Amino acid sequence: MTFAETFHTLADNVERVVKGKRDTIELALTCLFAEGHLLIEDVPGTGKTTLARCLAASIEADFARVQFTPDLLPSDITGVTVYRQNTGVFEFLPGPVFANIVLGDEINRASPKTQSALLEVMEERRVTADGTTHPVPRPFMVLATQNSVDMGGTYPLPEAQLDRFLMRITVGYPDLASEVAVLKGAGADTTPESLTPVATAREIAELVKAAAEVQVADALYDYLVRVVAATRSLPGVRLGASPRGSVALLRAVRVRAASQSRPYAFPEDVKALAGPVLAHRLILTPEAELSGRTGTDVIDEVLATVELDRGARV
Amino acid sequence: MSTTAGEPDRARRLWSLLPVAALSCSAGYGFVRVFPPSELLAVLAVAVVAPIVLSSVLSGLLGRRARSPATTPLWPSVLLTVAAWAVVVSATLFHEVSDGLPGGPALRAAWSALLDAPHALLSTILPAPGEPELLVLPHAVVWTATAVSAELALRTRAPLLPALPAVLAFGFPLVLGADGPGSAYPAAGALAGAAALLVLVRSRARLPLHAMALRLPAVVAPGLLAGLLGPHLPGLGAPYDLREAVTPPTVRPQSTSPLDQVAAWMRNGDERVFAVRTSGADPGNYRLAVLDRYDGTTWSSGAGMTRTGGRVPVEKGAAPGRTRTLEQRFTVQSLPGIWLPAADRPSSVRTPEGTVLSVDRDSGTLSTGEAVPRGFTYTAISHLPVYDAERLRYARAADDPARVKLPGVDAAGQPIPSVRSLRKIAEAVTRGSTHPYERAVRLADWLRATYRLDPEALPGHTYRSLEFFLADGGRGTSEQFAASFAVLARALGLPTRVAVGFRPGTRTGPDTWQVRGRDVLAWPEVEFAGVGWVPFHPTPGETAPGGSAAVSVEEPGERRPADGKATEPARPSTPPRTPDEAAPAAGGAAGSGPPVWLAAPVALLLLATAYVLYALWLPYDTRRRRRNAPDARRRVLGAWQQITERLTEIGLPATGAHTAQEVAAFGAERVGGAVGRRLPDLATLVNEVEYAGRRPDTAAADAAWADCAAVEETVRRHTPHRTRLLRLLRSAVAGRRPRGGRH
Repeated sequence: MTFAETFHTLADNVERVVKGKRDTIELALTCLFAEGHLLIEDVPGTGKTTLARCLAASIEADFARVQFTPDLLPSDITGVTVYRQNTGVFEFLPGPVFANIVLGDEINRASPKTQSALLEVMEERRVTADGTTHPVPRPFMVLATQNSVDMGGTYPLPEAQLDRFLMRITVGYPDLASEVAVLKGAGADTTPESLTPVATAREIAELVKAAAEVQVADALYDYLVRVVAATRSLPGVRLGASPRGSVALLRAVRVRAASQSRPYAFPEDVKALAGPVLAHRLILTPEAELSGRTGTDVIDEVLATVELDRGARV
Repeated sequence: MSTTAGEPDRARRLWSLLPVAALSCSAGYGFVRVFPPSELLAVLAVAVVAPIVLSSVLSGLLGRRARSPATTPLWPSVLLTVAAWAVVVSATLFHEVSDGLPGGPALRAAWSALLDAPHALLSTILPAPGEPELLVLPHAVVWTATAVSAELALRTRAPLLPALPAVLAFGFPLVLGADGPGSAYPAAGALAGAAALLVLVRSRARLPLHAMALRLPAVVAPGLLAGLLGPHLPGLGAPYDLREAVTPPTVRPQSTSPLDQVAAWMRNGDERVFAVRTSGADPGNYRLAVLDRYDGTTWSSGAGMTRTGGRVPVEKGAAPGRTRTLEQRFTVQSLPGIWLPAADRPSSVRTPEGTVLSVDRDSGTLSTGEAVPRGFTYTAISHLPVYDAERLRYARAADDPARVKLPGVDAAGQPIPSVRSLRKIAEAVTRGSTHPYERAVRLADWLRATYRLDPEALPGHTYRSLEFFLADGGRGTSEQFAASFAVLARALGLPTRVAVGFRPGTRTGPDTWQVRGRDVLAWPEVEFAGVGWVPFHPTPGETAPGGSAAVSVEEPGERRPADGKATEPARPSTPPRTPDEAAPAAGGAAGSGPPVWLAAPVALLLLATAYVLYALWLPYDTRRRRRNAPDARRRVLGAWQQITERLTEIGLPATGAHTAQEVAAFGAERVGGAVGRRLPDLATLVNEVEYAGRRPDTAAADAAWADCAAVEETVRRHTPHRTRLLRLLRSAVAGRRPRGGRH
C-alpha cells in the first residue's frame, strides 16, 4: 500500500469509533508518521483517551497505558532495576514507556519530577537507568491527554516538555449527527478494543522514512521559517517558537503532503499545520493572556500577515 | 507588518541612510546662497555624518543579531542626538567660548546664537560672514533634519517619508537666501534626485544590483528636470523676500554731515585722505556718503545700514546698460567719520577679518559703524555704469516722493519764502524743456556757466545760504553747487539727492592714486525710471585752482553745452523704450501671452491628465507583459496573479498571505460558474509550477489565461464603473508593485 492508502485506511479505522472527528484523527496520524508526540487537550468526555486507544489499537504494535496520578514515581514509567537473589545479578525491568505507543492519561496530574522522567525518552527515544542506556522500540510515540478544566491538584507541563510534543490538538464536541451516531452505536461492538490492526509497526516505520523524502521547495522553506520567526517578534508574545518548532512543522508538512499523494509540499500544508504544531510552544505576556489571547490567535494572526514569497511574481 | 520584516528589510533600511545623507547634503547645500561655500562645507559634513552614525548605532539594526524593524525605543536616540549636537557645537563652532570643552558658557552662547541667527541673517546682506553665531543655524537645521530623516528611514517603511525633514530643512535656505547670490535650483535638483534615489532604495520590490543600476536614470532625471527646467517654469516671479519684512538694526550715521566737511577739506587741500591702487578701468569719482534728506537747513543721510559679508546688492530698478569694472584697494590715511569711499556703487568689498561692514541698500554706501582707523585697507570691486544719453533723454523721472520733498514751512508753520523764489529760478532756467533729463542738464549747465568755484567760500547749504549763493554770491564750493542743484531739481519735481566724495585724485604711479583734501567733491544725482541714480556735475571743475584735473568723463553731467546734444536733444517720434518697459513684468498680467495666473491650473490639469493616462495605461501594460511572458511557466503565474488582483477588487484581502487554494476557494464562491469550479485545479497547477518545479505547456498557459479572462469579465460585471475607476486611479499610486505584494 502507498503512504496515502495506509494513512487513510488507518484514519477510516479510527473513525469507526471516533465519529465526526476526521480532521483530528488525521492530525493525530500526521503526528504518528512524523515520529512526533501528541498532546490531546480538552474537557472531559470528548474522547481524548478513546482517540489514543483507537490509534494504538489500529496498529499492530506494543501499546502501554499509564494513568498519571500525583503519587506516580518516575520509575513507574521508565522502569526499575531489581536484584535477583536467585541469580545474584541486578536486572532492569522496563517500564510501560518501552512500547511503540505509550498513552499517558491525564499527564498533568503527575508531579513535575515524574513528568520530567518522560523528557529524555520523548526527545532521545532511550531511557538511562543506573548508567545504562536502554533504547525504546521504533516507531515510538507518546500520546498524552490532559484536562483543560478542573485544574485543581494538577501540575502544568513545563515549557521544555511542551516543546517536545510535536502537536497539541483538541478533540472538541462532536456535531449533532456524529453525537447521534455515537448514541446509536452505544453497546454495539464499537469500542477501541473491537478494532483490528490495519498496519504493523514495521510498516509504520517504513512509511515514516517515505514521508521524510517529500520534497520542499526553497521558497517554501523560506515561508515556513518566516512564519516561525514572525511568532518571535509579535507584541504580546513573551517567547516565540524555537527552531525545534520549525523542524517539527517541516516534518508534519511532509507527512501531510505524502498523505495527499503529493511528492511536494505546498504552502497549504504549512498553513494547515502551523496552529497545532506551533501554538502550544508560544508563551504569551500576562497582559495578552488576561485579554484572552491564545497561542492559536497569535498563529492565526501570523498566517494572515506573513506573505507567501512568490519569487516568480511577474 | 513588522513581523514579516527580515534581513532584506534591515539591509534596505540601512542602505537608505545613503540617500538620506544625500538629501541632507542637498538641503544643506542650499545654504551656499547664505554663506560662502568654504565656510559652510565643513559644518555640513559634521551635521550630516554624525546624526546618521548615531541613529544607525542606536537603532539596533547593526550587528549580526540585529532584527528589523528597530526595536530600541526612540527616546534614547532623541536624547543622545541632542546631547551629541550640544557637545559637537561646543567643541567646534564655539570652542573659543568653551576652551575646547563643552560646557555651560558654550551651550548658552550656542543657544543664544541659534535664537538670534534667523533675524541676524535676514538683516545681513548675503553671503553672510562665516561666523559661529550665524553658522550655528545651518548646523542645527541640517543636524536635526538628518537625525529625523535617519530615524524615519530606520523605523518606518514609507518610501518617501524620510525625505520630508530634508525638504522642510531646504525651506530655511530658500527663505533666508532669497536675496543671496547664485541659484537654489542646483540644490533643488540634487534634492529631487536624492529623493528619487531614496524611493528606489526603499522600494518594496526586491531588486538585484543590476536592476537598481538600470533604474539610475530614473534617479538622475528628476534632479535634472528640477535643476534645468525649474527656472523656466511659467509663473515664476521674484521670490518673496522675508527680509523686506525685517527691520535691520540701524547703524546711526555720524552726526556731522559729510557735506558740512567739504569746505574744511577744501581748505586743507594738501591733506592726504586715502591712497588707491586701481586695476581695470580708469577710476571715476569716489562716493563717500549719500544725503537724501533735506530739512531746509542741512542735507543728511537717511541710510539704513545693513550688515554684509562683503556683497553689495545691486540698485533696485537700476539698469544703466553698459558697465566697466574696476577693482580698487584703498588705504585710509586721514578720513574722519564712519564712511568708506568706493567708486560709484561697489558690487563687493573685502575687508580685514573682524571688520563689521555695513551697507546702505539704497545708495550702496559703505560704513564700518565706527571711526575708520589710519592705515585701514580694503578692496572694492565696482561696475561703473556707462549711461546712454539717448536713453536718458526720454527717461521718465522715477516715482520717489521722499526724494522730491522740500520743506515748505518753517518750525512756526509759516511758509518759507525761499522755496518760492528757488522754484521760480528753476522754472526760469528750464523754461522750454519738458523732459526730466533735459531739465536736469540745463540746471547743471546753468550753474556751471553762471557761478564760480571758490575753495575759500563760506560753507552752508541752508535755504538762505543757497538763495544768497544763487542771487548775490556767485562763488561757492561744490557744496553749494550740488546743494543748489538738488534743491532746484526738487523744486521741479525731480527726485534728487546729494553725494559727497572725491575726484580720482593725483596719479602717483602706473596704477596708484593719491586722494587729497582738495579732491573733495559734492555732486547731485537724479533718479530716472529704469535707469537709476544718474550723477550730474554742476560744479565748474576746470576753474578749481590747484584742483585735480582728472574728472570722470563718462558721467552725463560733465557734458558741455557745446556738445549740442544735451541742450538740444533730437526728438524722435517714438521715444526709445527703457529695459523695464521692454521686458514684461515678471509674474504680472502684462504682455500679449496668456495670463500667468492660468499657469498653475493648467499645469495641474496637465498633471492630472498625465496621471489618469498613466493609471489607464498601467494595468493594460502589466497585463500585456504577463500574458506575453517568454515562457509558459511565467505566463501561468502571470495569469494567476492577474486573477488574484482582480479578486481583490471584489473582496479578497490584499495581504499577499493567501495560498493559491485559499484564493481559488474565494474565487469559486464569488465568481461561481464553470470558471469558479476550474479555479482549484488552476491553483494546484500554480502550486506545482511554483513549488514542485513543474513545467507547464503552452496549452496550460492558454487555458490559464482563458480562465483569467473569464474571471476578469465576471469581476467587471460585478463592479460598478465608478468603483473601478477610483480603484484604477488609486492603484496607479502603487505603480507596478503588485497589490498583493509584500508590505
